[in-house]
Amino acid sequence: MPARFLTRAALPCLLLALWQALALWIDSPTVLPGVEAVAQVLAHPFQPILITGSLIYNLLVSLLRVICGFVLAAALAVPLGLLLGMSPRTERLFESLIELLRPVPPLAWVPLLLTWFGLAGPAEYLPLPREWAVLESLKFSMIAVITIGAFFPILLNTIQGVRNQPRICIESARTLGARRTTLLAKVILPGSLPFLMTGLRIGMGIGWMCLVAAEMLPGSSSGLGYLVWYAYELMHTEIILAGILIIGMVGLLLDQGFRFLETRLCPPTTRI
Amino acid sequence: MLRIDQVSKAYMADGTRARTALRDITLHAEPGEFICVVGMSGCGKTTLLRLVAGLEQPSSGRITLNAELIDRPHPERTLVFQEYALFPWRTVLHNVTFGLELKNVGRRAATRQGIHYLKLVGLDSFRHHRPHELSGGMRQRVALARALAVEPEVLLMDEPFGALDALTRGRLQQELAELQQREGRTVLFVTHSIMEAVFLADRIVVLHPEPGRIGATYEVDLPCPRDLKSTDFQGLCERIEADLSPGTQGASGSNPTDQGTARRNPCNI
Repeated sequence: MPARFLTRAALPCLLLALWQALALWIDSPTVLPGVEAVAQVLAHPFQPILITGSLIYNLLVSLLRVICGFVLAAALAVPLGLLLGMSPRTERLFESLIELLRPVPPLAWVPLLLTWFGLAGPAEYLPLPREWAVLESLKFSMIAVITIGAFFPILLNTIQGVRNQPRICIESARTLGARRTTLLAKVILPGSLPFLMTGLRIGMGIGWMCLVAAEMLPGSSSGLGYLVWYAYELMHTEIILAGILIIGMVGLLLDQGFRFLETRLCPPTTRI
Repeated sequence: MLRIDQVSKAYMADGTRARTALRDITLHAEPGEFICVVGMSGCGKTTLLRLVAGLEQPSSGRITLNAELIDRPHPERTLVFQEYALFPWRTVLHNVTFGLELKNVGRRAATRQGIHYLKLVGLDSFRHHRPHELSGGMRQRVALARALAVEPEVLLMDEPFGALDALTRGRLQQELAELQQREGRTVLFVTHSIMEAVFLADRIVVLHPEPGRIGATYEVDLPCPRDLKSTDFQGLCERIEADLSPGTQGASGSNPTDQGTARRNPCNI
Protein backbone atom coordinates (compact mmCIF):
# COMPACT_ATOMS: atom_id res chain seq x y z
CA MET A 1 0.00 0.00 0.00
CA PRO A 2 2.66 2.66 0.86
CA ALA A 3 4.75 1.66 -2.14
CA ARG A 4 1.66 1.94 -4.32
CA PHE A 5 0.89 5.33 -2.90
CA LEU A 6 4.43 6.51 -3.56
CA THR A 7 4.18 5.42 -7.18
CA ARG A 8 0.98 7.37 -7.56
CA ALA A 9 2.32 10.47 -5.84
CA ALA A 10 5.75 10.51 -7.51
CA LEU A 11 4.83 12.26 -10.76
CA PRO A 12 2.65 15.02 -9.24
CA CYS A 13 5.43 15.76 -6.69
CA LEU A 14 8.00 15.94 -9.46
CA LEU A 15 5.76 18.31 -11.38
CA LEU A 16 5.38 20.52 -8.31
CA ALA A 17 9.16 20.71 -7.88
CA LEU A 18 9.65 21.48 -11.55
CA TRP A 19 6.97 24.14 -11.43
CA GLN A 20 8.55 25.81 -8.42
CA ALA A 21 12.00 25.77 -10.03
CA LEU A 22 10.59 27.19 -13.24
CA ALA A 23 8.69 29.89 -11.34
CA LEU A 24 11.85 30.95 -9.52
CA TRP A 25 13.78 31.02 -12.76
CA ILE A 26 11.17 32.97 -14.74
CA ASP A 27 10.53 35.25 -11.78
CA SER A 28 7.27 36.68 -13.13
CA PRO A 29 4.12 35.89 -11.09
CA THR A 30 1.88 36.81 -14.01
CA VAL A 31 3.41 34.19 -16.29
CA LEU A 32 3.99 31.54 -13.68
CA PRO A 33 3.32 32.20 -10.01
CA GLY A 34 5.13 30.12 -7.42
CA VAL A 35 3.60 27.08 -5.79
CA GLU A 36 3.24 29.03 -2.56
CA ALA A 37 1.11 31.73 -4.22
CA VAL A 38 -1.35 29.12 -5.53
CA ALA A 39 -1.29 27.31 -2.19
CA GLN A 40 -2.12 30.62 -0.55
CA VAL A 41 -5.28 30.91 -2.66
CA LEU A 42 -6.26 27.31 -1.93
CA ALA A 43 -5.57 27.73 1.79
CA HIS A 44 -8.19 30.44 2.14
CA PRO A 45 -11.21 29.00 0.35
CA PHE A 46 -13.71 31.23 2.17
CA GLN A 47 -11.92 34.48 1.42
CA PRO A 48 -13.74 36.57 -1.22
CA ILE A 49 -11.68 36.59 -4.38
CA LEU A 50 -11.90 39.75 -6.45
CA ILE A 51 -15.62 40.48 -6.71
CA THR A 52 -16.82 37.03 -7.70
CA GLY A 53 -17.12 35.59 -4.20
CA SER A 54 -14.97 32.99 -2.49
CA LEU A 55 -13.56 29.82 -3.99
CA ILE A 56 -16.02 27.75 -1.98
CA TYR A 57 -18.96 29.86 -3.13
CA ASN A 58 -18.07 29.40 -6.79
CA LEU A 59 -17.39 25.71 -6.26
CA LEU A 60 -20.80 25.34 -4.62
CA VAL A 61 -22.49 27.15 -7.50
CA SER A 62 -20.82 24.87 -10.05
CA LEU A 63 -21.59 21.72 -8.05
CA LEU A 64 -25.25 22.65 -7.59
CA ARG A 65 -25.59 23.33 -11.30
CA VAL A 66 -23.96 20.06 -12.24
CA ILE A 67 -26.10 18.06 -9.80
CA CYS A 68 -29.34 19.65 -11.05
CA GLY A 69 -28.39 19.18 -14.70
CA PHE A 70 -27.19 15.64 -14.12
CA VAL A 71 -30.30 14.54 -12.23
CA LEU A 72 -32.45 15.99 -14.99
CA ALA A 73 -30.40 14.20 -17.65
CA ALA A 74 -30.62 10.88 -15.80
CA ALA A 75 -34.36 11.31 -15.24
CA LEU A 76 -34.84 11.77 -18.99
CA ALA A 77 -32.21 9.43 -20.43
CA VAL A 78 -32.69 6.32 -18.27
CA PRO A 79 -36.43 5.80 -18.93
CA LEU A 80 -35.98 6.67 -22.61
CA GLY A 81 -33.01 4.30 -22.82
CA LEU A 82 -35.02 1.48 -21.26
CA LEU A 83 -37.87 2.10 -23.68
CA LEU A 84 -35.60 2.24 -26.74
CA GLY A 85 -33.63 -0.79 -25.59
CA MET A 86 -36.75 -2.87 -25.13
CA SER A 87 -38.55 -1.83 -28.30
CA PRO A 88 -36.58 -1.88 -31.55
CA ARG A 89 -39.45 -0.18 -33.35
CA THR A 90 -39.39 2.82 -31.03
CA GLU A 91 -35.64 2.94 -31.39
CA ARG A 92 -35.93 3.14 -35.18
CA LEU A 93 -38.35 6.03 -34.66
CA PHE A 94 -35.86 7.95 -32.53
CA GLU A 95 -32.63 6.82 -34.16
CA SER A 96 -32.10 9.50 -36.81
CA LEU A 97 -32.96 12.29 -34.40
CA ILE A 98 -30.51 10.99 -31.81
CA GLU A 99 -27.77 10.51 -34.38
CA LEU A 100 -28.34 14.04 -35.63
CA LEU A 101 -28.21 15.71 -32.22
CA ARG A 102 -25.53 13.61 -30.56
CA PRO A 103 -22.52 15.02 -32.47
CA VAL A 104 -23.46 18.62 -31.66
CA PRO A 105 -21.02 19.85 -28.99
CA PRO A 106 -23.06 20.77 -25.92
CA LEU A 107 -21.49 24.23 -25.85
CA ALA A 108 -22.94 24.99 -29.28
CA TRP A 109 -26.32 25.11 -27.59
CA VAL A 110 -25.32 27.91 -25.23
CA PRO A 111 -26.28 30.84 -27.51
CA LEU A 112 -29.67 29.29 -28.14
CA LEU A 113 -30.17 28.53 -24.44
CA LEU A 114 -29.26 32.09 -23.51
CA THR A 115 -31.72 33.37 -26.10
CA TRP A 116 -34.44 31.26 -24.58
CA PHE A 117 -33.73 31.47 -20.89
CA GLY A 118 -31.63 34.60 -20.59
CA LEU A 119 -30.24 34.81 -17.10
CA ALA A 120 -33.33 33.34 -15.47
CA GLY A 121 -32.97 30.63 -12.90
CA PRO A 122 -35.21 28.45 -10.77
CA ALA A 123 -34.67 30.72 -7.76
CA GLU A 124 -36.91 33.35 -9.31
CA TYR A 125 -39.86 31.00 -9.14
CA LEU A 126 -39.33 29.93 -5.55
CA PRO A 127 -39.87 31.94 -2.42
CA LEU A 128 -36.40 31.59 -0.94
CA PRO A 129 -34.86 33.05 2.21
CA ARG A 130 -32.01 35.47 1.70
CA GLU A 131 -29.37 33.05 3.00
CA TRP A 132 -29.94 30.80 0.02
CA ALA A 133 -28.36 33.26 -2.38
CA VAL A 134 -26.32 30.43 -3.91
CA LEU A 135 -29.47 29.11 -5.53
CA GLU A 136 -29.93 32.35 -7.40
CA SER A 137 -26.84 31.53 -9.42
CA LEU A 138 -28.26 28.25 -10.69
CA LYS A 139 -29.47 29.60 -14.08
CA PHE A 140 -31.58 27.50 -16.46
CA SER A 141 -29.11 27.89 -19.32
CA MET A 142 -26.24 26.38 -17.32
CA ILE A 143 -28.37 23.49 -16.08
CA ALA A 144 -29.53 22.82 -19.63
CA VAL A 145 -25.96 22.62 -20.97
CA ILE A 146 -25.09 19.94 -18.42
CA THR A 147 -28.30 18.08 -19.16
CA ILE A 148 -27.46 18.03 -22.85
CA GLY A 149 -23.86 16.94 -22.19
CA ALA A 150 -24.78 14.15 -19.78
CA PHE A 151 -27.87 12.98 -21.67
CA PHE A 152 -26.30 11.05 -24.55
CA PRO A 153 -23.76 8.91 -22.70
CA ILE A 154 -26.46 7.88 -20.22
CA LEU A 155 -28.96 7.17 -22.99
CA LEU A 156 -26.60 5.12 -25.16
CA ASN A 157 -25.25 3.09 -22.25
CA THR A 158 -28.74 2.33 -20.99
CA ILE A 159 -29.81 1.13 -24.43
CA GLN A 160 -26.67 -0.98 -24.64
CA GLY A 161 -27.31 -2.44 -21.19
CA VAL A 162 -30.84 -3.49 -22.04
CA ARG A 163 -29.69 -4.96 -25.36
CA ASN A 164 -26.98 -6.89 -23.64
CA GLN A 165 -29.42 -8.92 -21.56
CA PRO A 166 -29.25 -12.54 -22.70
CA ARG A 167 -32.54 -13.52 -24.31
CA ILE A 168 -32.77 -16.72 -22.31
CA CYS A 169 -32.53 -14.74 -19.05
CA ILE A 170 -35.58 -12.76 -20.06
CA GLU A 171 -37.39 -15.83 -21.34
CA SER A 172 -36.78 -17.85 -18.22
CA ALA A 173 -38.03 -14.90 -16.15
CA ARG A 174 -41.18 -14.89 -18.27
CA THR A 175 -41.80 -18.58 -17.78
CA LEU A 176 -41.38 -18.01 -14.04
CA GLY A 177 -44.22 -15.50 -14.17
CA ALA A 178 -42.65 -12.10 -14.95
CA ARG A 179 -44.93 -9.68 -16.79
CA ARG A 180 -43.92 -6.41 -18.41
CA THR A 181 -43.38 -4.27 -15.30
CA THR A 182 -41.91 -7.01 -13.13
CA LEU A 183 -39.62 -8.00 -15.98
CA LEU A 184 -38.38 -4.44 -16.18
CA ALA A 185 -37.93 -3.99 -12.44
CA LYS A 186 -36.54 -7.39 -11.54
CA VAL A 187 -34.58 -8.48 -14.61
CA ILE A 188 -33.85 -5.78 -17.16
CA LEU A 189 -33.00 -3.00 -14.72
CA PRO A 190 -30.71 -4.99 -12.41
CA GLY A 191 -29.21 -6.80 -15.39
CA SER A 192 -28.29 -3.60 -17.16
CA LEU A 193 -27.13 -1.83 -14.00
CA PRO A 194 -23.38 -2.16 -14.76
CA PHE A 195 -23.90 -0.41 -18.11
CA LEU A 196 -26.20 2.14 -16.56
CA MET A 197 -23.64 3.03 -13.89
CA THR A 198 -20.94 3.44 -16.51
CA GLY A 199 -23.26 5.73 -18.46
CA LEU A 200 -23.97 7.81 -15.36
CA ARG A 201 -20.27 8.09 -14.55
CA ILE A 202 -19.32 9.19 -18.06
CA GLY A 203 -22.34 11.50 -18.19
CA MET A 204 -21.31 13.15 -14.94
CA GLY A 205 -17.75 13.66 -16.22
CA ILE A 206 -18.93 15.20 -19.47
CA GLY A 207 -21.48 17.32 -17.62
CA TRP A 208 -18.74 18.70 -15.38
CA MET A 209 -16.51 19.52 -18.34
CA CYS A 210 -19.35 21.19 -20.23
CA LEU A 211 -20.31 23.25 -17.23
CA VAL A 212 -16.90 24.72 -16.55
CA ALA A 213 -16.53 25.57 -20.22
CA ALA A 214 -20.03 27.06 -20.37
CA GLU A 215 -19.29 29.23 -17.37
CA MET A 216 -16.49 30.85 -19.34
CA LEU A 217 -18.88 31.98 -22.05
CA PRO A 218 -20.67 35.33 -21.93
CA GLY A 219 -23.81 35.35 -19.79
CA SER A 220 -22.17 33.72 -16.82
CA SER A 221 -21.41 35.58 -13.62
CA SER A 222 -20.40 32.87 -11.19
CA GLY A 223 -19.01 29.35 -10.97
CA LEU A 224 -15.49 27.94 -11.17
CA GLY A 225 -15.23 28.46 -14.91
CA TYR A 226 -16.23 32.07 -14.53
CA LEU A 227 -13.74 32.52 -11.69
CA VAL A 228 -10.89 31.24 -13.83
CA TRP A 229 -11.90 33.43 -16.75
CA TYR A 230 -12.33 36.48 -14.59
CA ALA A 231 -8.92 35.91 -12.97
CA TYR A 232 -7.42 35.79 -16.46
CA GLU A 233 -8.95 39.14 -17.34
CA LEU A 234 -7.36 40.65 -14.25
CA MET A 235 -4.09 38.75 -14.80
CA HIS A 236 -4.25 36.86 -11.53
CA THR A 237 -2.51 33.73 -12.74
CA GLU A 238 -2.33 32.14 -9.29
CA ILE A 239 -6.13 32.15 -9.16
CA ILE A 240 -6.30 30.59 -12.63
CA LEU A 241 -4.04 27.78 -11.50
CA ALA A 242 -5.90 27.32 -8.22
CA GLY A 243 -9.19 27.17 -10.15
CA ILE A 244 -7.84 24.57 -12.57
CA LEU A 245 -6.61 22.44 -9.68
CA ILE A 246 -10.00 22.58 -7.98
CA ILE A 247 -11.81 21.75 -11.22
CA GLY A 248 -9.57 18.73 -11.72
CA MET A 249 -9.93 17.53 -8.16
CA VAL A 250 -13.72 17.83 -8.16
CA GLY A 251 -13.89 15.94 -11.45
CA LEU A 252 -11.69 13.24 -9.97
CA LEU A 253 -13.80 12.99 -6.82
CA LEU A 254 -17.04 12.75 -8.78
CA ASP A 255 -15.57 9.98 -10.92
CA GLN A 256 -14.23 8.11 -7.90
CA GLY A 257 -17.59 8.43 -6.18
CA PHE A 258 -19.31 6.78 -9.11
CA ARG A 259 -16.67 4.08 -9.34
CA PHE A 260 -17.23 3.33 -5.67
CA LEU A 261 -20.98 3.12 -6.24
CA GLU A 262 -20.38 0.88 -9.22
CA THR A 263 -18.37 -1.64 -7.22
CA ARG A 264 -20.89 -1.56 -4.39
CA LEU A 265 -23.98 -1.94 -6.56
CA CYS A 266 -22.58 -4.28 -9.18
CA PRO A 267 -20.36 -6.94 -7.64
CA PRO A 268 -18.08 -8.65 -10.12
CA THR A 269 -20.58 -10.94 -11.76
CA THR A 270 -19.33 -12.64 -14.84
CA ARG A 271 -22.23 -12.99 -17.20
CA ILE A 272 -23.84 -16.37 -17.34
CA MET B 1 -53.36 -33.13 -18.69
CA LEU B 2 -51.17 -31.60 -21.36
CA ARG B 3 -52.51 -31.97 -24.89
CA ILE B 4 -50.67 -30.98 -28.01
CA ASP B 5 -53.11 -31.36 -30.91
CA GLN B 6 -52.04 -31.24 -34.57
CA VAL B 7 -49.62 -28.43 -33.95
CA SER B 8 -47.55 -26.99 -36.79
CA LYS B 9 -45.06 -24.18 -36.66
CA ALA B 10 -43.60 -22.32 -39.62
CA TYR B 11 -40.99 -19.58 -39.60
CA MET B 12 -40.23 -17.02 -42.24
CA ALA B 13 -36.80 -18.22 -43.27
CA ASP B 14 -35.45 -15.42 -45.47
CA GLY B 15 -38.35 -13.01 -45.46
CA THR B 16 -40.22 -14.69 -48.26
CA ARG B 17 -40.04 -18.46 -47.90
CA ALA B 18 -41.64 -20.12 -44.90
CA ARG B 19 -39.75 -22.99 -43.29
CA THR B 20 -41.83 -25.58 -41.52
CA ALA B 21 -40.20 -26.41 -38.20
CA LEU B 22 -42.93 -28.70 -36.92
CA ARG B 23 -45.75 -30.43 -38.74
CA ASP B 24 -48.83 -32.06 -37.27
CA ILE B 25 -47.50 -32.79 -33.83
CA THR B 26 -49.95 -34.58 -31.59
CA LEU B 27 -48.80 -35.59 -28.14
CA HIS B 28 -50.74 -36.09 -24.92
CA ALA B 29 -49.04 -36.24 -21.55
CA GLU B 30 -50.72 -37.78 -18.52
CA PRO B 31 -50.15 -36.00 -15.20
CA GLY B 32 -46.88 -37.21 -13.68
CA GLU B 33 -45.64 -38.70 -16.93
CA PHE B 34 -42.00 -38.24 -17.93
CA ILE B 35 -41.80 -37.87 -21.69
CA CYS B 36 -38.52 -37.61 -23.56
CA VAL B 37 -38.42 -36.19 -27.05
CA VAL B 38 -35.35 -37.40 -28.93
CA GLY B 39 -34.13 -36.27 -32.27
CA MET B 40 -31.15 -34.84 -34.04
CA SER B 41 -30.32 -31.19 -33.82
CA GLY B 42 -32.54 -29.07 -36.00
CA CYS B 43 -35.53 -31.39 -35.81
CA GLY B 44 -37.68 -28.88 -33.95
CA LYS B 45 -37.35 -30.25 -30.41
CA THR B 46 -36.61 -26.87 -28.91
CA THR B 47 -39.42 -25.26 -30.90
CA LEU B 48 -41.83 -27.79 -29.46
CA LEU B 49 -40.78 -26.89 -25.90
CA ARG B 50 -41.00 -23.16 -26.60
CA LEU B 51 -44.53 -23.63 -27.88
CA VAL B 52 -45.57 -25.49 -24.74
CA ALA B 53 -43.83 -22.84 -22.61
CA GLY B 54 -45.92 -20.22 -24.39
CA LEU B 55 -42.86 -18.31 -25.58
CA GLU B 56 -44.05 -18.84 -29.16
CA GLN B 57 -47.42 -19.44 -30.77
CA PRO B 58 -48.20 -22.38 -33.07
CA SER B 59 -49.01 -21.57 -36.68
CA SER B 60 -51.89 -24.04 -36.49
CA GLY B 61 -53.29 -26.54 -34.04
CA ARG B 62 -53.69 -26.03 -30.31
CA ILE B 63 -51.92 -26.78 -27.07
CA THR B 64 -53.95 -27.02 -23.88
CA LEU B 65 -53.16 -27.72 -20.26
CA ASN B 66 -56.18 -29.00 -18.31
CA ALA B 67 -58.39 -27.88 -21.21
CA GLU B 68 -57.07 -24.31 -21.04
CA LEU B 69 -55.45 -22.90 -24.15
CA ILE B 70 -51.75 -22.05 -23.79
CA ASP B 71 -51.07 -18.67 -25.35
CA ARG B 72 -48.44 -17.12 -23.05
CA PRO B 73 -45.79 -18.12 -20.53
CA HIS B 74 -47.06 -19.05 -17.08
CA PRO B 75 -45.31 -20.47 -13.99
CA GLU B 76 -47.50 -23.57 -14.25
CA ARG B 77 -45.07 -24.47 -17.06
CA THR B 78 -41.43 -23.67 -16.30
CA LEU B 79 -38.52 -24.20 -18.64
CA VAL B 80 -34.95 -25.24 -17.86
CA PHE B 81 -32.54 -24.11 -20.56
CA GLN B 82 -29.33 -25.77 -21.65
CA GLU B 83 -27.36 -22.61 -20.78
CA TYR B 84 -28.70 -22.29 -17.21
CA ALA B 85 -30.03 -18.71 -17.70
CA LEU B 86 -29.55 -17.81 -14.04
CA PHE B 87 -29.63 -14.19 -12.88
CA PRO B 88 -25.95 -13.35 -12.19
CA TRP B 89 -26.75 -10.48 -9.80
CA ARG B 90 -28.84 -12.67 -7.49
CA THR B 91 -27.56 -15.17 -4.96
CA VAL B 92 -28.34 -18.83 -5.43
CA LEU B 93 -31.23 -18.66 -2.96
CA HIS B 94 -32.67 -15.53 -4.54
CA ASN B 95 -32.46 -17.11 -7.95
CA VAL B 96 -34.57 -19.95 -6.65
CA THR B 97 -37.09 -17.66 -4.95
CA PHE B 98 -37.45 -15.42 -8.02
CA GLY B 99 -40.66 -17.04 -9.22
CA LEU B 100 -42.06 -17.08 -5.68
CA GLU B 101 -41.52 -13.33 -5.33
CA LEU B 102 -43.54 -12.83 -8.48
CA LYS B 103 -46.30 -15.00 -7.02
CA ASN B 104 -46.38 -12.69 -3.99
CA VAL B 105 -45.53 -15.52 -1.66
CA GLY B 106 -44.40 -13.91 1.61
CA ARG B 107 -40.69 -13.44 2.11
CA ARG B 108 -40.34 -16.04 4.84
CA ALA B 109 -42.44 -18.60 3.08
CA ALA B 110 -40.45 -18.00 -0.10
CA THR B 111 -37.15 -18.46 1.71
CA ARG B 112 -38.40 -21.65 3.34
CA GLN B 113 -39.56 -23.06 0.04
CA GLY B 114 -36.37 -21.93 -1.70
CA ILE B 115 -34.24 -23.72 0.86
CA HIS B 116 -36.41 -26.81 0.55
CA TYR B 117 -35.76 -27.02 -3.18
CA LEU B 118 -32.07 -26.19 -2.77
CA LYS B 119 -31.83 -29.12 -0.34
CA LEU B 120 -33.54 -31.28 -2.92
CA VAL B 121 -30.78 -30.53 -5.44
CA GLY B 122 -28.11 -30.70 -2.74
CA LEU B 123 -27.02 -27.05 -2.85
CA ASP B 124 -28.41 -25.82 0.43
CA SER B 125 -24.97 -24.84 1.72
CA PHE B 126 -24.32 -22.66 -1.34
CA ARG B 127 -27.40 -20.51 -0.88
CA HIS B 128 -25.44 -17.27 -0.41
CA HIS B 129 -23.10 -17.83 -3.36
CA ARG B 130 -23.53 -16.15 -6.67
CA PRO B 131 -23.95 -18.16 -9.87
CA HIS B 132 -20.51 -17.32 -11.25
CA GLU B 133 -18.93 -18.98 -8.23
CA LEU B 134 -20.52 -22.32 -9.12
CA SER B 135 -19.56 -25.04 -11.57
CA GLY B 136 -21.71 -25.80 -14.61
CA GLY B 137 -23.37 -28.76 -12.95
CA MET B 138 -24.17 -26.76 -9.83
CA ARG B 139 -25.62 -23.94 -11.91
CA GLN B 140 -27.88 -26.36 -13.69
CA ARG B 141 -29.03 -27.73 -10.32
CA VAL B 142 -29.89 -24.17 -9.27
CA ALA B 143 -31.81 -23.67 -12.51
CA LEU B 144 -33.69 -26.90 -11.82
CA ALA B 145 -34.49 -25.84 -8.24
CA ARG B 146 -35.67 -22.47 -9.52
CA ALA B 147 -37.97 -24.11 -12.04
CA LEU B 148 -39.34 -26.53 -9.43
CA ALA B 149 -39.78 -23.94 -6.66
CA VAL B 150 -42.88 -22.40 -8.25
CA GLU B 151 -44.36 -25.93 -8.23
CA PRO B 152 -45.22 -26.09 -11.91
CA GLU B 153 -47.63 -28.61 -13.31
CA VAL B 154 -45.38 -29.21 -16.27
CA LEU B 155 -41.59 -29.04 -16.18
CA LEU B 156 -39.99 -28.41 -19.56
CA MET B 157 -36.32 -29.26 -20.00
CA ASP B 158 -34.38 -28.30 -23.11
CA GLU B 159 -31.25 -30.48 -23.24
CA PRO B 160 -30.54 -29.41 -19.67
CA PHE B 161 -27.43 -31.55 -19.33
CA GLY B 162 -26.10 -30.91 -22.83
CA ALA B 163 -23.45 -28.41 -21.75
CA LEU B 164 -22.06 -30.58 -18.94
CA ASP B 165 -19.19 -33.02 -18.90
CA ALA B 166 -20.04 -36.73 -19.05
CA LEU B 167 -19.48 -37.44 -15.34
CA THR B 168 -21.57 -34.53 -14.11
CA ARG B 169 -24.24 -35.34 -16.64
CA GLY B 170 -24.47 -38.93 -15.42
CA ARG B 171 -24.80 -37.78 -11.82
CA LEU B 172 -27.47 -35.21 -12.64
CA GLN B 173 -29.44 -37.77 -14.65
CA GLN B 174 -29.40 -40.04 -11.63
CA GLU B 175 -30.53 -37.21 -9.38
CA LEU B 176 -33.29 -36.15 -11.74
CA ALA B 177 -34.59 -39.71 -11.91
CA GLU B 178 -34.73 -39.88 -8.11
CA LEU B 179 -36.26 -36.42 -7.89
CA GLN B 180 -38.97 -37.36 -10.35
CA GLN B 181 -39.87 -40.42 -8.27
CA ARG B 182 -40.56 -38.12 -5.31
CA GLU B 183 -42.01 -35.06 -7.07
CA GLY B 184 -44.00 -36.80 -9.76
CA ARG B 185 -44.48 -33.85 -12.08
CA THR B 186 -45.29 -33.97 -15.75
CA VAL B 187 -41.96 -33.58 -17.51
CA LEU B 188 -41.31 -32.88 -21.16
CA PHE B 189 -37.61 -33.47 -21.65
CA VAL B 190 -35.82 -32.81 -24.91
CA THR B 191 -32.51 -34.48 -25.68
CA HIS B 192 -30.42 -35.83 -28.52
CA SER B 193 -28.98 -38.56 -26.31
CA ILE B 194 -30.88 -41.83 -26.67
CA MET B 195 -29.37 -43.33 -23.53
CA GLU B 196 -30.40 -40.31 -21.52
CA ALA B 197 -33.94 -40.67 -22.81
CA VAL B 198 -34.15 -44.39 -22.05
CA PHE B 199 -32.67 -43.80 -18.60
CA LEU B 200 -35.20 -41.14 -17.63
CA ALA B 201 -38.42 -41.49 -19.57
CA ASP B 202 -41.73 -43.25 -19.11
CA ARG B 203 -42.33 -42.68 -22.78
CA ILE B 204 -40.01 -41.71 -25.61
CA VAL B 205 -41.13 -39.81 -28.67
CA VAL B 206 -38.87 -39.82 -31.70
CA LEU B 207 -38.90 -36.60 -33.68
CA HIS B 208 -37.77 -36.70 -37.31
CA PRO B 209 -36.37 -33.57 -38.96
CA GLU B 210 -37.32 -31.39 -41.92
CA PRO B 211 -40.05 -30.77 -41.10
CA GLY B 212 -40.16 -31.89 -37.50
CA ARG B 213 -42.72 -34.64 -37.14
CA ILE B 214 -43.32 -37.46 -34.73
CA GLY B 215 -42.07 -40.90 -35.68
CA ALA B 216 -42.38 -43.85 -33.36
CA THR B 217 -43.23 -43.71 -29.66
CA TYR B 218 -41.79 -46.13 -27.14
CA GLU B 219 -43.22 -46.99 -23.76
CA VAL B 220 -40.32 -47.63 -21.43
CA ASP B 221 -41.39 -50.17 -18.85
CA LEU B 222 -37.97 -51.02 -17.51
CA PRO B 223 -37.87 -51.08 -13.69
CA CYS B 224 -36.49 -48.05 -11.86
CA PRO B 225 -33.69 -47.36 -11.09
CA ARG B 226 -32.67 -48.37 -14.56
CA ASP B 227 -29.59 -50.41 -15.24
CA LEU B 228 -27.63 -49.01 -18.16
CA LYS B 229 -25.88 -52.33 -18.67
CA SER B 230 -28.97 -54.54 -18.84
CA THR B 231 -29.74 -56.13 -22.18
CA ASP B 232 -33.28 -54.71 -22.16
CA PHE B 233 -31.89 -51.20 -21.76
CA GLN B 234 -29.40 -51.63 -24.55
CA GLY B 235 -31.88 -53.33 -26.79
CA LEU B 236 -34.27 -50.40 -26.50
CA CYS B 237 -31.43 -47.95 -27.20
CA GLU B 238 -30.56 -49.85 -30.35
CA ARG B 239 -34.15 -49.92 -31.56
CA ILE B 240 -34.50 -46.18 -31.12
CA GLU B 241 -31.15 -45.60 -32.72
CA ALA B 242 -32.18 -47.60 -35.76
CA ASP B 243 -35.37 -45.59 -35.89
CA LEU B 244 -33.42 -42.35 -35.90
CA SER B 245 -31.05 -43.50 -38.62
CA PRO B 246 -31.59 -42.62 -42.26
CA GLY B 247 -33.66 -44.94 -44.36
CA THR B 248 -36.29 -45.56 -41.69
CA GLN B 249 -37.72 -42.10 -41.93
CA GLY B 250 -39.55 -42.61 -45.14
CA ALA B 251 -39.76 -38.90 -45.86
CA SER B 252 -37.85 -36.90 -48.41
CA GLY B 253 -35.84 -33.75 -47.96
CA SER B 254 -33.81 -34.85 -44.97
CA ASN B 255 -30.29 -33.62 -44.52
CA PRO B 256 -27.78 -36.41 -45.13
CA THR B 257 -24.85 -34.82 -43.25
CA ASP B 258 -26.87 -34.46 -40.07
CA GLN B 259 -27.81 -38.10 -40.14
CA GLY B 260 -24.23 -39.11 -40.85
CA THR B 261 -22.98 -37.51 -37.66
CA ALA B 262 -25.86 -38.91 -35.70
CA ARG B 263 -25.01 -42.43 -36.82
CA ARG B 264 -21.33 -42.16 -36.09
CA ASN B 265 -22.00 -40.85 -32.63
CA PRO B 266 -25.20 -42.53 -31.57
CA CYS B 267 -25.21 -42.48 -27.78
CA ASN B 268 -23.24 -39.58 -26.52
CA ILE B 269 -24.51 -39.89 -22.99
